[in-house]
Amino acid sequence: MYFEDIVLTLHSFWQRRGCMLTHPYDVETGAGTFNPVTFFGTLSVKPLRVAYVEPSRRPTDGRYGNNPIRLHLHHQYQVILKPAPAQIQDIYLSSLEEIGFTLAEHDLKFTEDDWESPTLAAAGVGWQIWFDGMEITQFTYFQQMGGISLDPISVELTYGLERIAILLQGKENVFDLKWNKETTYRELWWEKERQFSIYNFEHASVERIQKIFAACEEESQANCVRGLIFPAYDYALKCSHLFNLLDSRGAISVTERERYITRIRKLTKDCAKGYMAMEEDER
Amino acid sequence: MNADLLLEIGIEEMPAAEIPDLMQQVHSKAAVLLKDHRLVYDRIKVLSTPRRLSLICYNLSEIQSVMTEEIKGPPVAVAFDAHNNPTAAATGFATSHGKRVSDLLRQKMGGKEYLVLHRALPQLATSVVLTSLLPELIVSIRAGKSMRWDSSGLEFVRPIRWIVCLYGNAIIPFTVGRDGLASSNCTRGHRFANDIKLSSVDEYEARLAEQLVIVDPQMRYQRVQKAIAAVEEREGVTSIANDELIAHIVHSTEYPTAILGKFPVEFLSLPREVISTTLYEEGKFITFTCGDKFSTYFLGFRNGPEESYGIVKAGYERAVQARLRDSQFFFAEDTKRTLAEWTYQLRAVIYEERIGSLWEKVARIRRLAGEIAQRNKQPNLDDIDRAAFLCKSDLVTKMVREFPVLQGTMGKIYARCAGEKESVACAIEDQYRPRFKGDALPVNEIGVVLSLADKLDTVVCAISIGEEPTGSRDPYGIRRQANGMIRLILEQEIDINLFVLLTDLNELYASITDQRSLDGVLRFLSDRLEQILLHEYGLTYDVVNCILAESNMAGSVMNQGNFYRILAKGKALVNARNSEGFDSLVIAFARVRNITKGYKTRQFDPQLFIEAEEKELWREYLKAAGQIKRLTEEKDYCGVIGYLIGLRGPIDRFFDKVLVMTDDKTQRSNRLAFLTNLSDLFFNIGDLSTITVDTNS
Repeated sequence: MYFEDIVLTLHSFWQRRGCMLTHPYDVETGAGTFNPVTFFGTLSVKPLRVAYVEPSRRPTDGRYGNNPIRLHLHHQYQVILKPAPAQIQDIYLSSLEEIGFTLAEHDLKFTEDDWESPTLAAAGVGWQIWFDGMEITQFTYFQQMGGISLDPISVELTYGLERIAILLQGKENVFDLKWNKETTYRELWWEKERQFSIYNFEHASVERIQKIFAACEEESQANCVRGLIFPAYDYALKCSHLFNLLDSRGAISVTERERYITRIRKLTKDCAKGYMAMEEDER
Repeated sequence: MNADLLLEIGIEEMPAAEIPDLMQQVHSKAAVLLKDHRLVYDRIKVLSTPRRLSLICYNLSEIQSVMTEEIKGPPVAVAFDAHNNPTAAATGFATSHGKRVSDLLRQKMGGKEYLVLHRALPQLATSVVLTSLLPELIVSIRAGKSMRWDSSGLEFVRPIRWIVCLYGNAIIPFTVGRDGLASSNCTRGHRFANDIKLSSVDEYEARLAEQLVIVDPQMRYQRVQKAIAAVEEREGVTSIANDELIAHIVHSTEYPTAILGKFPVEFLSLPREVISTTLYEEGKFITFTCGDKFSTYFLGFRNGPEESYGIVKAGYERAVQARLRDSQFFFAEDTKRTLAEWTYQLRAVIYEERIGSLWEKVARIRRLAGEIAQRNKQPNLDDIDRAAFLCKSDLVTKMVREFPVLQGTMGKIYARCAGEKESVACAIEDQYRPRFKGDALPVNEIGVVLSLADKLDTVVCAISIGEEPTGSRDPYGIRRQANGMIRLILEQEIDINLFVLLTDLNELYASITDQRSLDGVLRFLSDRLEQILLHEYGLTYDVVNCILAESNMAGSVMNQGNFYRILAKGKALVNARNSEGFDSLVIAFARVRNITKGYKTRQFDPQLFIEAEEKELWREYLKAAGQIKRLTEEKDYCGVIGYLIGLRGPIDRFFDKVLVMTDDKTQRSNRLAFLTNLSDLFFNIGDLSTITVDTNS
């Protein structure tokens, strides 16, 4: 199954289960969870079923295109279901069958992994799904988002599309994947991986990025105060990405990381509070 | 007829580490509830897999056991009138319970006689009791970390999805949660096997086994151990597996099947710590040694049967290879430079925004380590400085950024790669010890100094920026750091005064700290020391108060900075407190202490002494002071206490005969100043007046 067909199959699978299909966000995100559809959607008391692909940037995971599975930018397939159906584990497993796995032939483990995003002030309880020792999905019952305790609870499924494709296509290396009949993953992404790795690890200007971070932080705060929650959140996302970039440059110590995280968390928490107030007013 | 009871709580995969405690709770809480409800049985067995917690209660009685309840009525004195006829009080009590007065007994309670009704409690059928007892049991189980998953109002370690409850061969019907999750006789097999409809409790374990579920963790444990032993014997290798890893495997599989994989020989060029950490952290795989070499075998446990062994093995090997490739990348990148070269990178790494870079921290550690070593009269100053220079360099390496648990260990390995001395390399790893309560201390003496310097610096920095721990909040983990440091000083008998050290080196912290925060550091460390002396050395409160007391001598707080000596004083006191004359010494000193409290002048003139008793005390003081000074330097605190006991007689006689608070102002000041000097002598041990003495003896 080609990479793009996996997406199509998952789209069709989840559409049949009542999910609306939306699109990636146009601001850099580190994971599908950062997409406003998930961040604000899970805060709301309204039911939600949605699925989308999210290109996710993690500068520290870049390997100059030399590693078989690590990438600075990979693709997540994100599903949010609120409320969480009682059969959700079985539904998830049947989605794997639908994209072509014969599960009984493999070792499948739900391995404890309590997901947390300190920058989103978000926490959940769940698992990594290990498929023959390879992590292919993060499965989480969100408990908290933007510092707010959630009710109702959403379940989040995050498929790692590259890893799933490697297993399905029987490749050893992500760059050998077939995106479609004509195009390989290497043709599409290898040079980008190489250049971004060089940039992220070696050339990103620490001094300039610290300045941009501070400017984005201010922009976020200034607009959150005005009740412009969504623009404020965009700048919080930018801060999050810039922080990841600083991190990949090795420019911050363990201790200092905490400070940056606290600064970003303050922004996202304020956005969450603003959003809740907005929804309260609507009712 | 008695029968066996089965309760199975079906749960989405629970965290392996929580399961043993949850099983324990099921066992003990069930026992309490059954007892409270007067249900008797032979024994309880608790079983589990990642997806179920099961309770089997053997030979459970079919009905509650007999019990009579006593209901207290009116006192006999008011229950009958003068003619011994029942009063309204007696008849009222009897009829309200549907009895006659003649049914009541008389019983003495608290010296008074009462009418009492003995009534047999109803004996409910077990099947009825269970319908409320079992839901109560289920919701009483507390997870270490619980979650919510729907609108049922239930909270548990993971979502509860099904409940099986059979008593003999009958379903006990009940529900839990607002959404009414109902019990049944349907359980589930392994994820990829079939569901099971149970017809009796007896067949539970066997029917599950048919569907690839070994529900007894003890049996899975044996299966895992046997598989490891088989590999060891067949391949001539020795496993590197701790109890924690084995327990993890047992509690994360319903049907563990060993899969032996191999990784390519090329990865053996990686240090073995890196290989085993990579395989452990990333996939909970077991690694092996072969003689003194590392083996390329690794063992994983599939949750499922032997079938399609080859497919799973290939999958494991691919996953392991990808991870080792990653570690190889880190190692290659990291060793492009020597460890010393990485040190210079620390300039660009912020340790803490308000404090500065890691480079600056290293500079402080070098200075502190050097001073500690010198004051502790250690010979290897150059090696200590080298180790301090290199101690944080591995933090910027890619390997440590990926596997933080390897901090220090990679420093050691990279130091060796760069040809540093072995003692220097080992010290880099040792600096983090002790990492937790009960962890081993550093083994080499350079490591001891480095560990002390690093922890001291962290504590001073955190407190300087106002991050002193409060309640459960301790963002820099400095309680643990301080405890480790104090343990090191006490156990390694390091004769160093931290407070004097910090004061002498105050220019190190000039830019971030002031006198007030330095006082905060001393207070914080004293508090930690106090806790350790009380709880780990078992010293009593009065002894600890005594040795940690400050005198009114200027700079007396500085004396509290030598933790090793403080402990030595405490031990000497514990020894001395049963010896002859000690109690009266305490009482004698209390008189000195009370009268001189708050008095600061120490200038006095022996020529002014008039009474024989004050002259005697003065002579004895002089004799003792010289000896005590010498003994204190030699850390012989038992000896010091001996000389203090010698002063008891002269002190008592002094107070019997000499009036200190006389109207003669000159005499009064002179005597107070002298007694203050005497009090100072006692403070070589502490404030002895705080020691509790049995005044009756």
